[in-house]
Amino acid sequence: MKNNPDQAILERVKRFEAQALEEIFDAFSPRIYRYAYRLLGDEDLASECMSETFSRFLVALKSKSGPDTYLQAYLYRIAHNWVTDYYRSKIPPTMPLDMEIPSGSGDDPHEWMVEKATNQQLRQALTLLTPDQRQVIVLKYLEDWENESIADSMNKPVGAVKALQHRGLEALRRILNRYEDSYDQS
Amino acid sequence: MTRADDELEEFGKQTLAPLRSTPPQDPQATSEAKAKYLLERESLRQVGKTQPGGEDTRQTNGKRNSLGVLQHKPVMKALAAVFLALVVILAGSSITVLAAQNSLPGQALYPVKSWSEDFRLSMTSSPNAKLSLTLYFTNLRMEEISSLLADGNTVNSQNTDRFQRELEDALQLAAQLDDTKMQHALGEIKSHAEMQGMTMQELISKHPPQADSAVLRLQQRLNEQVQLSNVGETYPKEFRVQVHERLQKQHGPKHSPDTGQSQSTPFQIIVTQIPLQDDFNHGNDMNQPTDLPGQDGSGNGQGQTQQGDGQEQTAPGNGNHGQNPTHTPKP
Repeated sequence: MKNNPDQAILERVKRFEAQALEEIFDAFSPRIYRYAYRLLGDEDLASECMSETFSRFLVALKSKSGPDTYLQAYLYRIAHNWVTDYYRSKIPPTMPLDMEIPSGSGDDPHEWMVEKATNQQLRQALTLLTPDQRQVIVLKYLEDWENESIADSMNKPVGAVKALQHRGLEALRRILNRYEDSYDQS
Repeated sequence: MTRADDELEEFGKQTLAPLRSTPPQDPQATSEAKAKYLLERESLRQVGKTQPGGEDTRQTNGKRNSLGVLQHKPVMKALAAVFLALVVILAGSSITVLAAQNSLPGQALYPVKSWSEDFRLSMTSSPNAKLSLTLYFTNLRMEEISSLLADGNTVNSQNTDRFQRELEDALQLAAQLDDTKMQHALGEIKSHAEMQGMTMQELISKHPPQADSAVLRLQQRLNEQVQLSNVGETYPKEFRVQVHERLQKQHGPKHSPDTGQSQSTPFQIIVTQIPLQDDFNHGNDMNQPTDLPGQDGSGNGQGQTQQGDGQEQTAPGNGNHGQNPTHTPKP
């Protein structure tokens, strides 16, 4: 059995110690925000996801169903569920025509717009993956997690994580190729 | 790792690189979120403290209570009572349905869970959405079987019937889609069936005495699901014929409007002749990694992760196909 590095702090948060809960917020809120932004591409939504993640965490602690191990993995899973719920309930955002180009975004507005559109398309492609595939791909390639940590966070064997990664990347490639084909045809 | 795997890995790194950069967090929004979080912590902590003595407080401070104020107005009081009754009835029903979501086959609330799932399906109109929901439900079935076996119960055919029906429904729904969408749908069906097959294999090896014939049949059925998805991806027309025939078999010939296609196709023979028991071994699957779960040197097999499960699965309405904490996604 692995040592649980989070055990000490988890004991404290289970007692609702303010300082421990604050430490957790300070340590993990930037990571959760980053994770949410990478998937959602919107600062307000990412903030909302981050805030809701910690709120759900508190509720879970209160109902004695919080994590016993792997605190980080637990928080990421809540955030992932929030994002999945969001994708399921909302139409993926598109870029508004009257979008303002922020100052300091480089010299070439055209380049900035192309980059923005490409990223948006990539996020849209990610929404078309299954939630599990998406989580594996994002944790692996955007958050630089090891397969073992991903497996812990998803309660799946490492082999299953590898399979999800393989399938997810294949699906992503298919989707992006399709986008490219339709762009070429138009 | 093969060359194709390396290429795929490189594709992943390069393609996703643009999403790595993130804007800095708005300090004001972060402070607000933190303040809200700490406030919430305080109020949740207070809930625990005040609950035991709550009634006394209400009795001594009756005037602060809104219902206490309404005591002087009989009509308002009656309306408030009706309103409260309605809230209680509605909340009661919702709580029952919510509570049923964690029930297992054979338990008293399980029919409520089945009913709520059927209701959700009936409220979904598009085949695509229905398919997503059906696949989500198959994951729930898988979790139920895991829980039953972990609790030392034997899984019989009554427990697996619903699972089998949902697998069948997924194929039927995929067959209704146009070719492009069907390809994507079959990819998802296959991915789900593979994952479930792997989990099933682990469960069977962990709980051999409880692995009733129903579980073994289900494992074979999952494997068949993978094979059928493969057929569909390569031969869409034949897949539809085959799915149609399966539907006929289920409901009898009178339900079939098309009697000219009732012959067995060669693909049916392919599917049924493939040895089923060992196909979830990763080594036999081109798309699977070479490491078996728990044998990759990480020591992170199902046995270990389940320790986390035990705790986390108790959270009501866990998300991500029922395995994740605090909320259930609604496909």
